[in-house]
Amino acid sequence: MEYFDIFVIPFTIGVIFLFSILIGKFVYWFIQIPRRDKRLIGKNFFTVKTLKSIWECITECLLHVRIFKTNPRLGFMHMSIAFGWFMMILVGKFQSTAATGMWIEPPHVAIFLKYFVPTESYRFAHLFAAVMDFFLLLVLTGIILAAVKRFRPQAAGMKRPTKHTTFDKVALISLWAIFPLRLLAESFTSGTYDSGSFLTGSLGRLFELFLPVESLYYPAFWGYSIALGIFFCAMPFSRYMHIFGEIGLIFLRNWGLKTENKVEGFANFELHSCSRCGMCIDVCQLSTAAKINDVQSVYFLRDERYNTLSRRVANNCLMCGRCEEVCPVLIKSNRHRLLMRKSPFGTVTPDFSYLQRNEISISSGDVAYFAGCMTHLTSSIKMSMLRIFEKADVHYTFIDEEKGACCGRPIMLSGALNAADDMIAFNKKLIKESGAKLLVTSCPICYKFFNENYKLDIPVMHHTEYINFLVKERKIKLQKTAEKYVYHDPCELGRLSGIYEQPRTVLQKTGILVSVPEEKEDALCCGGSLANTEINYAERGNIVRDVICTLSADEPDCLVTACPLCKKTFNKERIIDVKDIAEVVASQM
Amino acid sequence: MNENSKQIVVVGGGPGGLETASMLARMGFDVEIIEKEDVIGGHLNQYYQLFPNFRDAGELTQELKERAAHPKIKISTGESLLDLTRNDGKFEILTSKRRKINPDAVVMATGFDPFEAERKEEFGYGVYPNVITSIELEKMFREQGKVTTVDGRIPERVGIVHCVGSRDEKVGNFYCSRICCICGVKQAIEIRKHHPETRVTNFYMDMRMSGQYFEELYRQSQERWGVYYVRGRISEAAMTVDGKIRVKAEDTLIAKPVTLSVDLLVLMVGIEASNSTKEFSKRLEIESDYGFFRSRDRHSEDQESPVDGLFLAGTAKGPASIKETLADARATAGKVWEYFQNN
Repeated sequence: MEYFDIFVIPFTIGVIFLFSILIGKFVYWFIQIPRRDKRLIGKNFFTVKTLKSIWECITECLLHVRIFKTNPRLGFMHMSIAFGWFMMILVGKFQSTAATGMWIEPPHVAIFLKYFVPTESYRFAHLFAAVMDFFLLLVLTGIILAAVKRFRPQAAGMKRPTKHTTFDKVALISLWAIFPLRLLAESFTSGTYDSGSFLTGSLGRLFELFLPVESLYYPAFWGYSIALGIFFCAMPFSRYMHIFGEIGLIFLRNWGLKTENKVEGFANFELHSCSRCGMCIDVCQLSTAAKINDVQSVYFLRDERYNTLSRRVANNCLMCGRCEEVCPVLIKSNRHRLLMRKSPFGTVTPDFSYLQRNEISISSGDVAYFAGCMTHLTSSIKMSMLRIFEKADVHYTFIDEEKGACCGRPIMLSGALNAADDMIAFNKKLIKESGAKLLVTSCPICYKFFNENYKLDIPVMHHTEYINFLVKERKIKLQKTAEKYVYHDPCELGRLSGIYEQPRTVLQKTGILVSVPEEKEDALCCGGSLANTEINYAERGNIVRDVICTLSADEPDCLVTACPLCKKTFNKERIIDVKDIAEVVASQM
Repeated sequence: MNENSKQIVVVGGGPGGLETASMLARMGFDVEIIEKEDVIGGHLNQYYQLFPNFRDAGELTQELKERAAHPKIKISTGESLLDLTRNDGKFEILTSKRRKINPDAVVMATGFDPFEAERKEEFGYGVYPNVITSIELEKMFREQGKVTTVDGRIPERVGIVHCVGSRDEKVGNFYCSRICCICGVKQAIEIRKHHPETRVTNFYMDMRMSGQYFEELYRQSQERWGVYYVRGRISEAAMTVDGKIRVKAEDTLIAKPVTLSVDLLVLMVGIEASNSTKEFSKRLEIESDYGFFRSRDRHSEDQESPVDGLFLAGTAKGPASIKETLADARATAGKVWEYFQNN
C-alpha cells in the first residue's frame, strides 16, 4: 500500500473513535431538541443567520475575538492554538494533494506527509513547507503560553487557573506533546533528507550535527501518532469537546434556540461548549471577596456535565450574571443553575392556593403600583414613591398595600420553578381589577419577573424608568444640588434587564454623578442576592464590604441604588450613606 | 504595698465605671474617671424605673454619684481617650484635651451603645414618627410622665417589638442582649399603670426570664396588668392613612399571619459594643466577638484582660443588667487590689 505505515494506526483509531462518538452525541442531542425548536431551525436555515453563524465560527472558534477583547494575552494563546492548528490541517490537505496528486485519501496521509514525501519534490513544495512551518511555530507558541499559564496564571493575565478532571489532564498532556513531537519528527526527517523549511529544516540540520537523525525520525513519528491517538480518544470526554460543541452552539443559538425547562438538546450543546477557560472565576465575587473557589460557572457546568453536581455547588451562586457577561462562548449558565437546583421543599409541593380565597377589593387608577416585599421592608423607598405619585398628580392604585403577595421570583430562584403560579394568578387578578394602563414596581426583582413571567397586557416600568418619564414629561421638577453620587447598578435591573441610562439621566439632574469602573455591565452584585441559599453570614459580609469599599473609592456623599435589597444590604454595614433613587428624587422635587 | 502611690484610670463614667472607682477609692487608691460626655452616669441618666422592682433610676444615679464624690476620685468629663499604650509596666494615656497620664492600672468601663434601630428599616424607625426605641420610651416617662404619640395623644394601642438587633442574623448579631425581654415586660406594665385604657401587645421570639423575680413579673404582667403577648417576630411595619402603624407578624403558636394596628410601636433595641469599646478592644487586640472586650477567662479571670494591669468592667464585655454591672464593677475593684498585692 502506498502512503501507509503501521505507525499511523494509533492516529487512525483515534480519528475513527472521535468522530463516531462525536456524531453519536450530536445526533442524540439533535433528536432531543423539541419540535417547536426544530421548526424554528427550519425557518431560519436559509437566512442570513446561517451566514452570520459561519462568520461567528471563524471569529470565535478560530480567532477567539471575544477573549482577545477582555484579555489579549489569553486571547492570543487560544487563537494561536486553534487558528494555527486549523490552518495546518487546511494547508496540509492542499500540500498533500500537491504531493500525491490525489484529492481523496485517508486523513493520515496529510498528517504524516513529511514521512511519506520527505523532500520538496512537488509543485510549490517550498512555499507549502514554509507556510506549514509558520503555523507549526504559531501553535508551539500557543502551547508554550498554555504551559506557562498553567503554572503561572498571572503571566496569562489571569488570577487562578482552572482545576481539571482526569480526562482533562490526559487530554492536556497529550495535546502538549503532539506539536513538539511533530516538530521533532519533521526536523529529524528534514535532517535525514536535507529538506524542510526555516523551522524544521534548520532544526534538522542542527540535530544532524550531534544526533543519529536517520534512526530517530521513525520512532518520533510513532510518538506523534500515539499522542494524536490518545488526544482524540480523550477529547470527547474532556473539556476539548468544546472545539466541536461550540460550532453546534453558534449555529443553534443564531437560529433562535435557548435553554428552556430541561437540560437536553440545546442545553447539551451549551454544556459541552465550555472550554473551562476560567474567565468566570476571575470576575466572580464569591472568589474575589469571599474566597469560595469551587462553585463558579466553570465548575458548575463541569459537574453538571459529568453528573457529579452537589447541592452546594448548585446553590452557592448569587446569580448576578457577571460570569455570563464575560463568557467568551456566551453560555447562559444561570438558566442551567436554576434547572439544576433541587426544589427546597423536596417532594412537598408548597400550597399558596389560600391566596385565591383572599378577598381584596381594589380601587382603580391609571397606574398600578406594586412596591414588592423588599420595598415594604425599606419603607423610606415606599414613602418616597407615594410622595412622587402625589407630587406628579398621578391617579394610582397601590396593589400590594395591605394584603399583597410576593411576586414569586425568590421562590423560583430557589429552584421551585412552578411554585410561584398561585402568586402570579393572584397578583394578575389585582392588576387587572385596577384597570391601570401601566404597572410601576420599585423592586428590580419583581420588575424582571413581571416582565418575563406574567405576560401582562400592560407595560411594566421600574420606578427608575417611571421617574425619568415623569421628569421628561415635566410632571416633576428636580433641584440640582452639589451632592456627589455613585450609582450602583442592581443586577436584576442592569445586567439582567438592561436598564442603565434612565437612573443616570435622573441623577445628573439632582446632583453630581461620578462614574466608576464597576458600572453598567461590569457592575458588582451588592452581595445580598436572594438567589444564594448556601453562603454564610461572614462570607456575605465580606462581599458586601468589598463592594462598598470599591464603589466609595472616590468618596461620594451618597451611594445611590435602585433596588430595595441592594439598599438594605449596603445599609446594614453603616459605612456610607445609601439611598434609593426614589428617596433622592423625593427629597429634591 | 502602699496604695497611696498607685494611680488608676477608669475609662467610662457609667454605673460600671463609677462603682469601680468608688470601691477603689475606698481601698485607698488614687482614681481618675475619664468620661467622654459632659455628665457622669452613662445610659442610666436616661432611664425611668429599673426592673424588676420599679426602683427610680434617678435615685440610683444620685447614689452612685454621691459615692463617687470622694477625695481620692478625680472626675474628668467631656474628655475622651485618644490613645492607650503600655510600656515597661506603666500605661500611657493621651486624652482629647492633650493630657498625658501614666497610671499603674487601667479599668475599661467603656460600656455599650443601643442598637441603631435605623438598621432595621422594615420596622420604620426614622421613617414613621410613631416608631420609637425603648430608650426613647424611658425618656418619655422620665420627662413627661406619660406616653404620647407624636401629636400628643395617649395611644390606644402600643406594640412592643422584642429582639431588635439581637438574635438577628440579618444584622449580624447572633447573640441575645439579655435585658430587653424583661425591659419589655417592665415597660408594658408601666404603660398599663399610667394609661389603663391603653392595650399593650408584645411581639417576641422567646421570653427569656432568667433573672431573679423576672418570671414572676412576666406572669404578673399578664394576670394583673393584662399585657398581651404574641409569639412571632414582626416582618414589617407600615403607616396607614390615619397615622397608625400597621404591624405584620406571624403568630407562631397558631401558625397564622396576623396584622395589628397600633398607635405607637416601641422597639426593644439590643446592646452593642459602644464605639470606644469597639475601638480599644481592637487596638489593644483583645477583641472578642462583636467588638466587645475579651477577658482572660470567662469563669475565673473575667475582670482581667489579657493585658497585664488592664481590667474590664460591665457591659464593655457584653450584655449585662445594671445589677450585674454593679456586681462586676465591685469584683473588678477587688481584682485590681489583688494585682497590686503582687506587683
